[in-house]
Amino acid sequence: MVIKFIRFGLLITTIQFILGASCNKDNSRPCRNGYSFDATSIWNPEKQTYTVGDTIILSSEISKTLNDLVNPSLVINYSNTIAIGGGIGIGYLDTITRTALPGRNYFDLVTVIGSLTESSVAPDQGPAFIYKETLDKYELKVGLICKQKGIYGLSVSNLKSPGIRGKNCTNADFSMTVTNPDKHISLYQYALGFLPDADGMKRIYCFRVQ
Amino acid sequence: MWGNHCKYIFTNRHYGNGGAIGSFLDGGFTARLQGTDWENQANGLNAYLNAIENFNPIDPFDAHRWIPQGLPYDLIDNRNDFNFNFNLPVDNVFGYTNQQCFDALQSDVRSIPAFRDRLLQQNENNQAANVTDLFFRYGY
Repeated sequence: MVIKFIRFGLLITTIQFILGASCNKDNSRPCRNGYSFDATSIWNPEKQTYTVGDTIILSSEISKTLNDLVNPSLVINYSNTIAIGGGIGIGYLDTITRTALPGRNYFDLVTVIGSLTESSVAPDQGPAFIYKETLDKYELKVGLICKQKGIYGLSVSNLKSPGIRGKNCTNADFSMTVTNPDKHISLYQYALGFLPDADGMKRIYCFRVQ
Repeated sequence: MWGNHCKYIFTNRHYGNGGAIGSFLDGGFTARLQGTDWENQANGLNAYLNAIENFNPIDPFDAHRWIPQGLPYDLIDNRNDFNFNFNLPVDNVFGYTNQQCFDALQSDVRSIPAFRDRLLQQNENNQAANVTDLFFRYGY
């Protein structure tokens, strides 16, 4: 009886050891207090009015040498990450109900650099994207092809990275700012009757399709 | 979900807008719990409430996305987050209370869809279509 018990105990210990030893070296283990970085993106061409069939391109580049926003003296070599990604939110600005409605279905998607995927949650709100890692930076260039007339707003989310391959607690949040000098926020105000909040001002770009 | 909700709601109730307003670099208040902004105020909300309001369903790399931490607050508040940021959930539900949410979390409610169904059942299907859509936006 005792021997059986010891054998059982050894079996359990061995299984745990085997499972523990087979962890994926390419994974990172995210933690609560990862890095915080800045990121920027821009929509082109910077027009207020587009026609059906036009393509609007979102471009963004992130250097691999980054300063942590909370500890600015910390310079991080942020290369060989598992991924860096975020999402594009698409709003159809309804001038009658004065609300924003999910607008993904009014656009086709184009990928130039990086990748775009349909979101598994709330796919009608917009796609998710992942940057492409190159020698010295991360790059993204994706586009939306206008399919239907109306007033629209696009917002680029903050980015997240699960971390550097094989290094625990290197996950990062990137605070996104859309740098178009004119984001045509007057269209947003015209359609909805109010202005975006400070966070919206950072990331929303509006335009009309006719 | 309920733990995340209570943590921020009670912190907010107790401390309010505690700490200096402004960026961290300028000596502002730091509240970096689970994706909060490091500024004390964002989106017209203080850091605690913003922390449960900034759930982004499109985000592919949020390790905590499966926890719908902002859901109870979205049942209560009267702000449609999508109007202000097209990455945030469409939220046309308002007027539920903390008590109603708590009452629906009975011992046999073991999943988010079960919570949704019990909440509607106990509240005469109040705003049923919008409640169902809100849960869908959180992935349930």
